[in-house]
Amino acid sequence: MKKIILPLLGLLPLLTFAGGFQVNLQGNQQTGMGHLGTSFYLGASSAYFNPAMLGHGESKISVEAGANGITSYVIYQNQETGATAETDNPMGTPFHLYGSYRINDQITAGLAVYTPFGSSVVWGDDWDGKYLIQDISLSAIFIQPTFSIKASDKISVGLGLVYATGAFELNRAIAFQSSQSAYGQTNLKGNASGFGYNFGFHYKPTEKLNVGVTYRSGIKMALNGGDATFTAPKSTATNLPPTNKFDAELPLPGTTTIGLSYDVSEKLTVAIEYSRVAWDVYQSLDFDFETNTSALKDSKNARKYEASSIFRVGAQYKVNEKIIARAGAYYDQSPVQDEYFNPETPNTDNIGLTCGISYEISEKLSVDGSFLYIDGQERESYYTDPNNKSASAGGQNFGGKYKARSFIPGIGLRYNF
Amino acid sequence: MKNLKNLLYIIPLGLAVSCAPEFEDEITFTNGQADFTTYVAVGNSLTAGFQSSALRKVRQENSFPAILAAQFAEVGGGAFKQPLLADGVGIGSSLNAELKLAYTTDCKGKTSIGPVPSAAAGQADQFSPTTYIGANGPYNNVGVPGAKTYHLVASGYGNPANIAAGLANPFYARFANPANYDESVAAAVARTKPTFFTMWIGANDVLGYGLQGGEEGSDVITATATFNATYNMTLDSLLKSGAKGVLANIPNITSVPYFNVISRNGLELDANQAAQLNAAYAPYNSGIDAAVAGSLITPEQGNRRKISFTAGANRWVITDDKLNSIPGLPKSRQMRHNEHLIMVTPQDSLKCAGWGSSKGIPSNYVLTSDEVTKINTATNEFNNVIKTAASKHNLGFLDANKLMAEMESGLTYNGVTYSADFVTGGAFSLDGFHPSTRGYAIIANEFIDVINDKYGAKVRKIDPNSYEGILFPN
Repeated sequence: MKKIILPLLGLLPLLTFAGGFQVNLQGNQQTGMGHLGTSFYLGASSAYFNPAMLGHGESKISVEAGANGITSYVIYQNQETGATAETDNPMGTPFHLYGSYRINDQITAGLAVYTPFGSSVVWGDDWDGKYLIQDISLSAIFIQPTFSIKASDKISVGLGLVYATGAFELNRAIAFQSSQSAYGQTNLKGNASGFGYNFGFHYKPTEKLNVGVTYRSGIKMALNGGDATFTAPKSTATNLPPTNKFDAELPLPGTTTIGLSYDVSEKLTVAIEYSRVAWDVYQSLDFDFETNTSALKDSKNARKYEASSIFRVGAQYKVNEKIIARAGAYYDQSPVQDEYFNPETPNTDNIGLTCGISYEISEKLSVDGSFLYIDGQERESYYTDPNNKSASAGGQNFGGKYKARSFIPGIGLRYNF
Repeated sequence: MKNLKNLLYIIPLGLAVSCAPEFEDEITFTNGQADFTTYVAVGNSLTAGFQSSALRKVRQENSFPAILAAQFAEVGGGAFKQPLLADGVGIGSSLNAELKLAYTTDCKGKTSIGPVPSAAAGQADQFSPTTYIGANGPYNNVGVPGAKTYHLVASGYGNPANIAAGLANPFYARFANPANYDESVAAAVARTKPTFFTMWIGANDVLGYGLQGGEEGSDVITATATFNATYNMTLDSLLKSGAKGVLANIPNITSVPYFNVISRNGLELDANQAAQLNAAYAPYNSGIDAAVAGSLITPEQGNRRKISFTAGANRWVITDDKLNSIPGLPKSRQMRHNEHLIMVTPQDSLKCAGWGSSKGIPSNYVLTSDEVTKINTATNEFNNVIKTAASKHNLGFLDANKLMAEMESGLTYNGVTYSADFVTGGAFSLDGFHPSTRGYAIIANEFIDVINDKYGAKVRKIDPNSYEGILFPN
């Protein structure tokens, strides 16, 4: 069953909207309340949010599936020429599938399939920054077998092992002109994979207070033997072999999260979370070409990301036996420094506002709706290429003002056997 | 159930209300203290828009003054009239057409791409009095290809009657004032009463010398006193109407591809060839030793004239007329680290006729270190004159010499790196010393930076990448 679904879904582009190219949309209930869920149980999706809590449900078997539709916009304005651009991104559709099976009172096993990283940015073929990026699509699917142990009524631990598989494609223009075409084109395309792990810890010091801690490891996505295709005037072919291969490595950052939740009453739960994302692993995006020439050296692109933080707050309220309403907000720092801001990942500091609702259709089946609005804060940033001195005023290579906005409705289903 | 309905209303509402974000502030472009009503550009081929060995209409339309005038138009700039040629392949100083990049095959049968004339002949009719356009003047772009500083104040420099004698310039005669052909360029531009000007002159005062490999024929380096006097005469005539403006200095011409595209280290030999050449030069080296022994030359001079080769890259052998005469020996030596071969050195002679290996490259293709020193000294002295004038009259100053130095190591605009490398560097045209269209666009941006800084203006800059680059054959 998985084998059929995954390749199909894998083709769908995802979209940048969290720090870097992280996609934080792993459960529609959690998304509805600021995407937090480290310290409380909301079904099989705990396999992602905190594997320690996978066994905290009442049913022997739980499954959950959900998806989101991301509509996002990034706008750009050059402060010297006044030129503007706006992305024309395809709708991103990250998804998640979870299942858990309680083996005995202590041990629960689960499987999670989710898409925590991805990006799809389309600036267009002929915008000012085309020599840096025309479009990029990056998607990663994580497959995670999970085990959870309930050590006592107050303490649980969990472990997940992750296999990540992803696809990468990038287009950018190259400055070779002929009477037929104003610029050439580089296309880099390949598949990558890597392994990682995560673990979770849950502690319930009092009846009303819950504490959760998770650590998700970083993963080095290795891309080997990708296709590098160059479209350029024929007379440049000896310097720029039209077909070539390349290797690259894309590091995905580890994340440490601590969350607290408090049951104010039977009906109302409030929660806060703090995440630290180790984006500092992403220092450079390097393409190592199989065939190098005087015009085609290995491409080293400084990224110099910094570790970033996410602060979340959310609440859920049981309206009645069937309906739960949720709301939340978060602040997600951009890991990109102002001097190394590349429009390939046009990442702003983000404020996310969320709301959501769950409806219990039957005792076994529930539906979750969520809506996330992201306001990407305006920033003036430039890309500096340390390998080349730059000419624009201020000494930078390419940049200006950027601002972003996303709308993300989502829907999920849960079924308890 | 009611809440669920509410949520369903909210989702489409959120999508409909506002989609793409907008920036908080709009950018406002202003002229500051500058008045661009009447902009006049004075200079040489660089101001005219000359490139790839010719002046051509489509290049004139992208001259840096034309680009500037288009940007000034947004902040109060008036009409900008250029002495455009008719459509065509362009015309150069030897009546040639513009160069283009095409496949060429060398004496060894190897095919590569290089500059070739785009047509058998240039638009010679544009130098015929019947096509003259002076009557439609005055023109705002007074860039005269080939003009030296003193030419701008010379009476009769645009008089067609003086062309045969070499006292007038056909590029100027075609648009000079027919009512008074003897009027100097300086006097002609004063009549236009500029409110703003750019003046970029002086490169030919050193360049002509270098272009011929430093041979001192008719094209000698201008005396600094002459440069100083005539530079300021032209400037004074521009300032008569109270204009503001920018002065640009002279780039270090030895950095342009024309003097660097053929490496001084370009003689590639294998071990066998090196041994054969060493054997062939053994009698020459013995002759040098004998001359040292006979005190005809000093031991130091002897060492600098001796010739040897190794497998790999070797310095070319050149003829240096300044060397002491030694009976029976040619005036040969190998090139030194700061010396340059000029781009027009015949490649086939280097590859197949033994130039630079079995015989010395003629000195008119070589800039020797002494000649480089003369060029550098003159450039520095002229640039002092320009800097002093800019300070004295409180004018904007574009350090084109510094820009040239930066270009050598590579300058990146919006992801494209431009350098002084021939063809692949993108900044220079196919003649190796005039900028390409994108090179001129970069220069226009540099002028805008100076204007914005000096006159508190915000003139809109341009994206050099959006102009035509070097066209590669398919």
